[in-house]
Amino acid sequence: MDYFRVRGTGVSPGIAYGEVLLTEKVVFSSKKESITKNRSVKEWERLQKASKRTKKQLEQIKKEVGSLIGEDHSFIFEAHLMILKDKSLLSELEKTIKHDLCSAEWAISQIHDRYNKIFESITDEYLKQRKSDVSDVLSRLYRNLKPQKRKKTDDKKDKIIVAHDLLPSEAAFRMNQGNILAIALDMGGATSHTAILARSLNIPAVVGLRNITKKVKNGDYLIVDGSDGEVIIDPPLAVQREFASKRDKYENYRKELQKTAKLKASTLDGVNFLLMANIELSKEVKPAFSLGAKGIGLFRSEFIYFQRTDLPDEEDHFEVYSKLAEDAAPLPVYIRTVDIGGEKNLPQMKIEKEPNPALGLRAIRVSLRDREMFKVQLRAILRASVQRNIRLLIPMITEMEEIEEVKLLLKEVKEELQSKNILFDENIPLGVMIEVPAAAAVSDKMAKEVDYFSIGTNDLIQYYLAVDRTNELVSHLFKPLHPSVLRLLKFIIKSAHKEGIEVSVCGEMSADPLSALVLLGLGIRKFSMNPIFIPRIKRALRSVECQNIEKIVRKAMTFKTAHEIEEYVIEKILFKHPTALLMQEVPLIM
Amino acid sequence: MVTKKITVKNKLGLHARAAVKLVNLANRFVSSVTIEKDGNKIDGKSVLGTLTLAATKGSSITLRITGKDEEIALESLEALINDKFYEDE
Repeated sequence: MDYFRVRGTGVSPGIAYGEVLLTEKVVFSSKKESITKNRSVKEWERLQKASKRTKKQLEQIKKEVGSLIGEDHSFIFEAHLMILKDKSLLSELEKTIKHDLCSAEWAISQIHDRYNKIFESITDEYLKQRKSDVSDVLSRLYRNLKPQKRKKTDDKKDKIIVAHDLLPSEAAFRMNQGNILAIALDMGGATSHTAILARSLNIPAVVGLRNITKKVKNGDYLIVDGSDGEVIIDPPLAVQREFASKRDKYENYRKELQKTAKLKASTLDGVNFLLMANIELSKEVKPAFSLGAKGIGLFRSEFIYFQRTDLPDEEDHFEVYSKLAEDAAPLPVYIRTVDIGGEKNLPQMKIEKEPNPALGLRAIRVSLRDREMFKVQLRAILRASVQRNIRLLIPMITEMEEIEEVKLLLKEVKEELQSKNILFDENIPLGVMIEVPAAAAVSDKMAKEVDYFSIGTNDLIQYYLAVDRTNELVSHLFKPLHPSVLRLLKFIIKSAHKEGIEVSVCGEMSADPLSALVLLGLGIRKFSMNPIFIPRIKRALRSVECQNIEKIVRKAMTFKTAHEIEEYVIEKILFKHPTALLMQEVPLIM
Repeated sequence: MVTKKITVKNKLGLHARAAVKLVNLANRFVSSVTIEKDGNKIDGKSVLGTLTLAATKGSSITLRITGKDEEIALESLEALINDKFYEDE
């Protein structure tokens, strides 16, 4: 039997196998057939009947959603009901049928087009999206022109939802019914509400599959692999078995994770370490903590910009930061000021395309160029710092002057707030990302000027080794254990220790067990990473003696190549701590 | 007929939720309610019309109300808009 594998983005981990329930996107009629006058009266009656059926369905959904997840979510269906019974909508439909002498299907298609055009011309993004509400109602109405007999028993069976896109309210409703095995969508991203909801309910989900709705039909069987972002249509038995064992492994892993999260974060010889989470949304704080994170080591504030098309104002920033501070308190939150520019360009920032974006206008360079925008962000961060658990983190620092400028701006903003009697943490710690080799080289000087370092190993290594790791022609040269990199890291860590300031690592090196062990050996005790990797790093660090790792790393630093270092470290670690790097039972991506 | 120009103050503007509140309130009166923005006139008792108005925060809309209870209708609708449709922001 033929089968297809379709790649998308896994946004909620786990694996499920089951039958497809397609929530169809209505394809509106594009053919106009002329009908007689008598017939048009019948068509209008047919449409009114469809309207009644639609009304009944919407009332039912509204009631169910309301009692399941609260009035707040059911409100949207109230709006849908009102759109449905809107006099101007009905009279437009009636007019179209009776004057143009056409079918009810054609009339709905015409009206649908008309409203789509009106909403397309609206410039406000939020209101523009409202067209989906009107579209939703008209789609439902269209579907109801032909009464569908639903087999009740079938609906009770657990299914995999396949859809073009799911509205948050619809997603919430369906997921709360508890008979969803998994979700596969044409559209969507990792930060959509549907994805967040799926994660919190432990429902595997893959989005961004482009045309999965066209590739499957109701009754087909699918594997949805939310861990690796893959959907397999009509898998043969052998593939099913393979995935069943992967699913079992995952379930075991999830149980292990919960146990690991509660364990103490210290090495065999009693050296404490701290694991924190890199996140993009305030909603991620609690899930990260449940995986054992003891703070938010990196909040990527540029995501506030990515979620909108205009520029956020101070209140928009403040809302996010105060929610973060509140959810994390008393644990710390390191807010990194915007890292925009480079590849992460934003249309609303109007940064021109640069020939070499990685070396161009990005991060603090953007902030110091547009100081008013930067001050808006600083003010919001300061205002959210009243619980004293917020740290200010500046990305892409290259030279001392930039630190001085940031300090001056920070002082200005603090004075402004003081003059207005607005409370904030006057001693808010100010730290810098060490991710440009130049900053690393003068880190002994910088350590005297800031409260902490956060080493961004991804960029630091990319710049230091002059390797773009997304370029497959050279990515094999991206070696975190290159002796030059270890020397540089050693120097940064030494500089921080000498001035008695905190130093942590928030790049991907933190999330890789071998690299994390090397970092431990170099003196790092604070690690921040994608929260899903926290349990495995915790397990690796807990299974070693810190003293021994330090000795191994000291010796490794005398070698000439990354290859020699890697071989030596692995051999030595495994000799002393055979379980430290044991990861086989852990799926690659959770 | 009574007429009044009002500025929309809530953050999201006349979005679905606010439109529903506005239309529900307008429908409680017998007077006809017309809302005008940038030359577009719509029926204030139609949620579709209200949505297509695209009244964002800061835009000014004109209410035209005609009928027996026009005074009280204007007063109530004005209060709703000025109270930001009872939204937090």
